[in-house]
Amino acid sequence: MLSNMANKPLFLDTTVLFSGLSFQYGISHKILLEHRTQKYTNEFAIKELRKILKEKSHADETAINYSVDIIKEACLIVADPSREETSRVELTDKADKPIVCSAMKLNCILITEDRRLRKEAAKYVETKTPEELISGRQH
Amino acid sequence: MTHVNVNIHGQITLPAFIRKKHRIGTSTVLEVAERDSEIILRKAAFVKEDVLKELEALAKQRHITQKDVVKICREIGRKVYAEQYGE
Repeated sequence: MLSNMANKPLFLDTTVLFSGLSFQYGISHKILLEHRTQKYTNEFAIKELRKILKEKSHADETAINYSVDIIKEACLIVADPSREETSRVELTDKADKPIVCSAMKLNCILITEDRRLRKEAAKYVETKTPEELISGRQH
Repeated sequence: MTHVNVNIHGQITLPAFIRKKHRIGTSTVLEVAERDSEIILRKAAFVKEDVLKELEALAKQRHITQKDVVKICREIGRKVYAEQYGE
């Protein structure tokens, strides 16, 4: 089971991308930049990240582009699911659908800091918080 | 050698074969430098650690903590979803 989990790729949502970039001593940072398992994210998460860095962190365009370059080094970025694909999942927050759909399609473990999403998405895809992923590896 | 025109805004278009060869895409940052009579264009090297330090400093300046991340992502996520999927 552990070796299967170790081989299963990870899908990082925006909470992990943003935390990973902005908080160097956090677990998301370790997962984003050090964890050796294949990692994915999608264009939707990148759009969210760009908007967060611009509107909340007030980062300039150059810093935002460099940040996306860092993500590209760490993860493979996949295309977003279609509207039709997102309509197949039921989630409280519609904005979580593109993330969950992509994770399902790639048969990844979805990694998110959002505990509500972690519970809801579990019916569609294996989901863990960063802490659960790291503590799982230590067993 | 390839020639490109400068438009009214001072912009040029890099030929497709150059973009492809050097993997220059939408978010690639290029450095523009001068050397004597030459204008040099190259991909900007960035130091990852400097970018991460800057982002951490910005988060601190804006009083964004780890606890705020989920709330921020939800707020922005709804906007991006509405823009992209029209719902």
